[in-house]
This record gives sequence, C-alpha cells and structure tokens, in this order.
Amino acid sequence: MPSRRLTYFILAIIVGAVIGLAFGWFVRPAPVRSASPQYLRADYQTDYVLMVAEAYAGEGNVANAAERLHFLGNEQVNVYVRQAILYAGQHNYSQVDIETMNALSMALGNWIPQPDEGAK
Amino acid sequence: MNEDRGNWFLLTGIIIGLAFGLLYSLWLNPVTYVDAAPGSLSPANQDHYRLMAALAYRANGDLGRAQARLQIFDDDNPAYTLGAQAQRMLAEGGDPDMARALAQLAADYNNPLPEVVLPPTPTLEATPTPPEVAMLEETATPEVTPTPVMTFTPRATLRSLPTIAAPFDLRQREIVCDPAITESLLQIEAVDGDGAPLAGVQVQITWSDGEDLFYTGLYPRVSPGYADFQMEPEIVYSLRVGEAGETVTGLYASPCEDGEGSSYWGGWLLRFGQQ
Repeated sequence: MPSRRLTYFILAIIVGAVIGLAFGWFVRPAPVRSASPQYLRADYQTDYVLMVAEAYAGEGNVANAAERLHFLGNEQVNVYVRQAILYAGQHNYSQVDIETMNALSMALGNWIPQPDEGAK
Repeated sequence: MNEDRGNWFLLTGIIIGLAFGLLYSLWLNPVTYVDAAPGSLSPANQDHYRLMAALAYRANGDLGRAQARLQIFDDDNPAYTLGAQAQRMLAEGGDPDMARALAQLAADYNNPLPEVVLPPTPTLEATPTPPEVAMLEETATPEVTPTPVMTFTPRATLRSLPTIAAPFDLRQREIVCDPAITESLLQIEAVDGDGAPLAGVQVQITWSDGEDLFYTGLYPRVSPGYADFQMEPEIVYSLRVGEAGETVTGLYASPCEDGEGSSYWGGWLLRFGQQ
C-alpha cells in the first residue's frame, strides 16, 4: 500500500507540474510587448542596422553608432553589420543601402573604443 | 494507521508540482518571442527604434522611408507618438538634440516639405523590395507588388530641410486673454522665410532663478512650428527663438477679465520669422 500511495503522490506532482507549465507557457505567458531586440526578425534587424548606418553617414560618430548597435545584443557590433550586409545582399536591397552599411562596417573595423566615448 | 491519513497527500503533490511548473514556466524558462516585430518590443525599446528612425531621417531626409519604418508600430497617429516621445525625453533630461530629431520627424510626418526631385542618375538602384517579398521572389513572378509597410522610397528624392541656424525676428507680439485657456501660456510660433511653420527650432526661456529649453514641433496637431510654455504669475520671463535670434524680454502672466468681471491670468502669443 505505501508504494501505491507513493506512486499516486508522484503522479499528483506530475499533474501539478503540467498544469503549472501550461499556465506559464500558454494560458498566461509573458506579455507580448516584452520581446528582446536580439529576437527581432532578420529583416527588422537589418533595417535597424541600416538606420544606424544612415545616422552614422550624417553624423560621422562611430562611437555613437557602436553604442546604438548594442541595442541588438551583446555580440561584437560589427557582427550585426556584417549579418545585415549579407541579408541585404541576398534580398535585393539597393546598392546604396549596402554601401552605406559597408561604410559603417569599415569604420567600426578601424575604430578603437575609448573609455569616454559613446553614450547615445 | 495509514488508512486514516486520507487523500491529502494527493493535494500536497499537486501543489508541489504546480509550484514547480509555475516557477519554471514564468521565471526559469519563460516564453521568449523570436522573429519579433518592433511592435513586440517593450515601450522603451520601441522608443529607441523610433529614435533611430528619426536620426536616420535627419541624416537622409527620406520621409517615405521614415514613414514606412514608423508604420510598423500600428500607432493611430505616429506624429503624435513622436511628439510625445520628444516631450518625455526633454522632461527626463534627455539629449535635446535627440528630442529635436524626433520633433522634426513628428512635424514633417503629416506636413511634408516641398520636395525637390532630382533627375535619376545611372548609379541609382530600383526601390528595394520588402524582405517578405524578396523571400518569395525565388518562386514568384517579378510583378509581385511590395506591401506598403516596408516599401522604401528611392534615394533620388531629396528634401530641402530648413536652415535652423538662421536667426529669427519677432514678427508679432500680443496678449492673449482667452477664458477657454485655463493656463497662462506663452505661445510661440516659428515660421521660415516663406511663412511655412518650422519644427525643431530651439526656444530658450529664462527667468530670475531658472531657465528652460524646448523645441517647436512637439504639438504637430496645433502646428509644426508651435510650442508653448506655462508661465507662473508674477514672474517675468525672457525668451529667445533659435540659437542666434532676438531676445524678447518683459513677458509675464497678464491679468485679464472675462465678461462677468472675474479676473484670470492670460498669456502671450509670439510669432517669429526667419530672416
């Protein structure tokens, strides 16, 4: 009899766990407006990088551009730019846009971060 | 003895399991959204995305592209959202330059400036197709029409952005006694040399023990060149529009009377034109 009670006890735990998991994942998951920028769809990530590159083309401040690219995650910032250039090349972005991002990539490649640089 | 314990152990087991399930699904391994759209970001991250759209617009002047980027968010009134964001940024002590970029885009969003269309050059490429369409192009025919959300305008279109640095002159100064306006407002309107409202113009207000800095264009519903400031009674203010404009002094909350003889504080309307 004790072993039968133990079996039911374990089954009860499993049932409770399933209910808890279903509640947290399906019934009431995290709010939709909580997605992390690193999970943006590839086309939106590419457009974000393009925005940063366009702003860089106007401002010429590579430290600001690097700081803005950190919005996408903790990778080295040039990784995002290269991914965006690759995506843009595969999806018929204009040559002007690709060149704009290339210019940013080159600037980041030559950029040595300074301790007091980049805040915006 | 065991028979007397009843079935409470089942409830205990369910509670233990439930606690584990909730802990795991809500804290240890919560739902993550992948392939997300910018509208799924947190409000702070959405603000950052909009700010980047505004900075890119300031750099390239491509309003069509900026509008496409903002339409992703499904805002009822993107210009209003931008203006509100600029106000929040200034209120929180953010960078005035960033706020000005937001205000400029807010003002231009519904009131585009006249465009100067340059003749196309051989180096210009066709309008880029949206990513969704581009992915289909391997099997689809070239006649696929891009959806409006990600349709970018070609770079051939350049816009004549205003020269904010040119000085402003005071063109009109009058006391406003309007019982419908419950606050004593200093209302400012900035226009360019052609009389068109001008957004993103810096307005600096000083008084005996303080100062404030803001920009026109934060209320695009009123006018792209409009800004206002709430005055306190018995304080005299000085105001300058633009970075090298004329300083207007002697501004204060003016006493007014309504039709029934009740007094209230009125304000000022100041119109500035660019030289």
